[in-house]
Amino acid sequence: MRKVKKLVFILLLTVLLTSCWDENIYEKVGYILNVGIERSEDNKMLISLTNPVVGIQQQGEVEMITTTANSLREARENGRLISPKNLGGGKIQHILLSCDMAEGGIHNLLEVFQRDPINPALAIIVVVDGSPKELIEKSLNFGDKPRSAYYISQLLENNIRNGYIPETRIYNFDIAYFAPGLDPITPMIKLEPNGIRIIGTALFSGDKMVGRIDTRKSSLLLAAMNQLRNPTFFIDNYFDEDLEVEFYTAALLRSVKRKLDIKIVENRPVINMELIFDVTLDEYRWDRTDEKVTQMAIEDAIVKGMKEDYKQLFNYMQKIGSDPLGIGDKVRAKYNNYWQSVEWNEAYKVAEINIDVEVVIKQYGVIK
Amino acid sequence: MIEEVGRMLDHKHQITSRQLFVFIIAVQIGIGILTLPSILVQIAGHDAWISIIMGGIISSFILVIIMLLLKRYKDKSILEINSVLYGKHIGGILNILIIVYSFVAAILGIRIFTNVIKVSTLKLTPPTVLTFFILIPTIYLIWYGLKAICRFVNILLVIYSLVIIFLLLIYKDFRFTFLMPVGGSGIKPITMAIIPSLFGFLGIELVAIIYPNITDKENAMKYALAANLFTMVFFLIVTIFTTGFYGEVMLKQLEYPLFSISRSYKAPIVERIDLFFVAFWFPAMASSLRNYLFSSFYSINEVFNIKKRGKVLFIFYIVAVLVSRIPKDQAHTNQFLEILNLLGIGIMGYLCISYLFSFVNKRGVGIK
Amino acid sequence: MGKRNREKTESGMINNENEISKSLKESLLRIEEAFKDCPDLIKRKVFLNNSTEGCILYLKGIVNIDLVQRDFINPILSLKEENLTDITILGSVSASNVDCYYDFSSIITDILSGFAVFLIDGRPFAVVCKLDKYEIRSIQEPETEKNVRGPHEGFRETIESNMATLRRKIKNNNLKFKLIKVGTTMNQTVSIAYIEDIADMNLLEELNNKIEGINYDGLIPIGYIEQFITDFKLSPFPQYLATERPDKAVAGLLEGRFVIMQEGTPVVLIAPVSFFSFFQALDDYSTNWMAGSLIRTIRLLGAMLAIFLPALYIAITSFHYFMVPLDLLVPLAESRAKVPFSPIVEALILEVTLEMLREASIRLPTYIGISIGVVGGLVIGQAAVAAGIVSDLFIIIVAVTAIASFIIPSYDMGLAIRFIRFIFILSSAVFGIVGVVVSTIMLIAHLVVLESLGQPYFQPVVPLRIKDLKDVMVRVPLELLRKRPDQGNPNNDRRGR
Repeated sequence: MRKVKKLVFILLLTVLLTSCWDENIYEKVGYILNVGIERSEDNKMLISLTNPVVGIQQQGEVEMITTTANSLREARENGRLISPKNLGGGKIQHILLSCDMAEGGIHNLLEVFQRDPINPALAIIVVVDGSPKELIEKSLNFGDKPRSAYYISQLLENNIRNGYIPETRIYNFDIAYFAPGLDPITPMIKLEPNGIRIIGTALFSGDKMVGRIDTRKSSLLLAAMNQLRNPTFFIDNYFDEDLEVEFYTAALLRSVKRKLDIKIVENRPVINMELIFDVTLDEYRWDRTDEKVTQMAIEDAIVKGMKEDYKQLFNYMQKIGSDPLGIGDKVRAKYNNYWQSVEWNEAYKVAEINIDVEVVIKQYGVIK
Repeated sequence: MIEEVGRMLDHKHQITSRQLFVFIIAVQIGIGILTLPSILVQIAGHDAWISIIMGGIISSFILVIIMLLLKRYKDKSILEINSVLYGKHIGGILNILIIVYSFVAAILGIRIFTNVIKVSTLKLTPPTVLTFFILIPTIYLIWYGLKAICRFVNILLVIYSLVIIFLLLIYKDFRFTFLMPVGGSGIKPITMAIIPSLFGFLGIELVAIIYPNITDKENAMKYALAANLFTMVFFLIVTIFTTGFYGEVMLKQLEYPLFSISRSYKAPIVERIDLFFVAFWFPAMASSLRNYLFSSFYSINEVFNIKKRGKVLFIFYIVAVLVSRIPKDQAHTNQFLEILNLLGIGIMGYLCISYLFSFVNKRGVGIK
Repeated sequence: MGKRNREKTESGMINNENEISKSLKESLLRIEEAFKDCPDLIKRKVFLNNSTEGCILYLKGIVNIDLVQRDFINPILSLKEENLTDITILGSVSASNVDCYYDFSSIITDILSGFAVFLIDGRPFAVVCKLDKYEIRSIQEPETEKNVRGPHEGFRETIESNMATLRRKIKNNNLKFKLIKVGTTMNQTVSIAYIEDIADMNLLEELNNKIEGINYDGLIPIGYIEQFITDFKLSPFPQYLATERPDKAVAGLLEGRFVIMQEGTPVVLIAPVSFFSFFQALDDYSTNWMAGSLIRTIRLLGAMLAIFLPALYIAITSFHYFMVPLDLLVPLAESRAKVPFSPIVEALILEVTLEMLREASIRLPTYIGISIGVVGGLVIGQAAVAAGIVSDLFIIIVAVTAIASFIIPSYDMGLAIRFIRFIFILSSAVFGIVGVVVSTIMLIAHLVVLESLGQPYFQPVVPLRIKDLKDVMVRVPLELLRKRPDQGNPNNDRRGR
């Protein structure tokens, strides 16, 4: 036994003395935070990576590497050929895709995030209206904004919390892509002269982007998906002729109750959806808002506006064949025989979708 | 130290029925559950959970038969029963078969454990060194015997509940429609999936080896059945959650769904918790293989009547590490695993046949 | 005393060599031979009734000579010739602690233990009387185990006064002391205190055998005994709770535990104890139960921090960079950027410095100790960061770790945790989080295997004793603590009637 102990001891000692194989010392790693992907010539992708430069003198500096590559991993390896740091993808916050990439299908492109567990499945997928490279480049020099990746990440996070864009991380995207009768959606951003702007939501069919909607419709879509956060909804109020300004009513959408009823009538799906919103009246005009009559009028106006929006939204989605609501999934679960008998993409386009909206003003602030 | 400890080790294998409960849970839950949902879904689709319930019921029946067999022979383990029931030579061969089975099961467990670590955290560390390192606590506990092992695995109950709590954290991405329509996959695939679901319940055959060490045998049956039921409920929860989270199509693509699911939760502050999740699951995996390793070591001691336990254990340790490197790669390991699982079912069947045979050959029945 | 005397007498009968000779001269010669070069042995010859010669022997400095003169020698001297039999002498001496021996070796040990021995010519026995007077220090509160609301007294170096302290606190004849002699050269007395109707007699037997089995020349502090009787010598954890506080010893006794006291040391050992006993202080019980629970939880948390924090830091900074939160990413990298060493070297530098500092401050007197604090604070806190040897974040981690390990009430447990921390640091430096996990499993496995006097060390948690869990992380109100914990295997586990 003493020999055994000695052997074990020697073994442990050798383990301690040999270098540590997987060691990846923190300050020597360059953590990629932004990834921008767009198409380039000669069948390649133009991929832009950024990582924050850390040093005593360097405050707020960001290193940006742009390279053409045939895969994301190749881009990282190319980056390692340039960067002083050992680039690693473990902290990627968001993936910025150009519209043409998204329209071509991104499912296999993003596979590396699921295959290699060091990469995060939590990165947010964002479609950029314009060139991601340009967006990242410009974002490095916004004087009044934080470091590029932090800026974009905070921007997205806040707007997700406010309910203007969906929270689409890689795993959400993959799940929605794989599930039959369910399509992913992603946020969309756009470069402006002195900042980046959230412009709405990109709609996908399968893994291909097929359409886009603005933030107003995005928040309504999220409500219909039962993922309402706290967006504010605007509707016409009055037109001030002296100022020549159109004033809007603002209502904070607090919560929504959704009743979804799916039927098959004459071999055609009929979807009846009822949405009951609880809202807080945030901005209106001096009026007796505590009275039932006034409240009813406001509620009616909001309902009318919403219904109109929903109608446009669903007509658009049916036209482009995108089903982020998972109506197909529900049909598959409920009417499996019917589901197997039809081609859903076609059936969806001719489905009848009726939306009924009800709005209840729960609070109107501290003036009557 | 050996002489000092020797006196205390007189009762080192004695356990109560309650400890048998955790022993069985620890063998069953651990390594199997990593791949089980994915394997079952490949056969039975989203109805995999029904197969698990059926597998649980069937395995409970097998467990009852095994316990009845052991009860018939009072204080004997299967190793002694074999030589009584089948005669010295055939019994000896069967004993060696049992030893080989439990040893190979342990080896494959070690291999899968190492694979998981390599895939999830340490890509480049030499696997042999890693295996040596991760087996240190296992060998330590085996040296101190069954009682120490059973006391240790109590800790796992905390880990299982942490996993359940974690699954509850991601409830908002859970879709019931992914589990519907119930029974939609058809009866044939569901029944086909019972066999692989039984693989998950493998481990109850080890009771036959350690049975004589139970102090209150009258409760053993009750606790063993409860353990099997516990495992079934745990499998059920994990399978339902992974199916409802990923949907069957995506789940089929995943190697270790339970780990993938941990990558899909954005925790406050630390963001990614997958590493902690994996770290928490390590003890569960180690316990599963430890119980097999212990059973084979214990059987060797019983069959060959070994005096120098320390030396044999050390040789056993080295052999186990080296043998675990034999499978060439992940796919090769899985092939071995398939054969082993069938062998495990075979062992269960053989125990059931032994019970029937004990009515024919009544030698040694009921004698203390 | 009487019983012991009889045993000794019988053994003396058997062995002639050991008998006291009738001739005083012969006896004195033998004693002188035994006490060669012992100038502190005083022999004073006296004559009884002017004819019979007698001799009184004692060691200077440990015998209260005034009392011996008054209560021992004077009564004997006044006895008549015919009354000089053992029974009459014993009856007529007014001192309380008088005995009569027939064997020679007992005389030697008794002289050494502070007895005055009286030999009479022509009589084959010796009359001994214990009227000792040691110089002992006054009762003080133990420096290392202060408390707020408990009694401020501590044990002292003499076993008699310590036994008396316990006796004064527990006025019950069931409080027993079992005396054992240890130390082949030093001849020390060890006493095991227990309460007869609570403690488990099998454990007493086991403990007794263990202590009697010690074969060593001298046991200087009680740590010697502890090390000789521990079952798991390869364990860093203390398996016996050392304390200087009588109240802690009493609390142990009431839970059916044993208190081992040794001549010459104010520290006593309590056994069997569980891992969690080392995190309990008497103040937890003497104050409000909610506050007590909070403090105790913080102590356990502190122990966990002290073990895991540096190891996790190393694992994350040298292996798993992606576990750092986004907002900490850049600040951490900035603090690490100017450090030329890898995290493990950084950690070892700082941890070793800290341990040196701590070790230095124990030995140094208080007034120099303060300057050590200044040097440590300046060197570690400021200069090391400025010079770029360590990162400031790690300084914080080390500081938190140090504070966390200071709040553990037991010095032994603190030592164990400091030791374990280094193992964790090293294994996390090689295997990252896997190293931390494997070390944790090993730690738990070890705690589960460990036993204190044959009782499971990790008791109320594993094996699970739900009723005892009330006194681990939380300390429930005393009314709910009506059962004694299972650890001591008590005979009757109800506290109170």
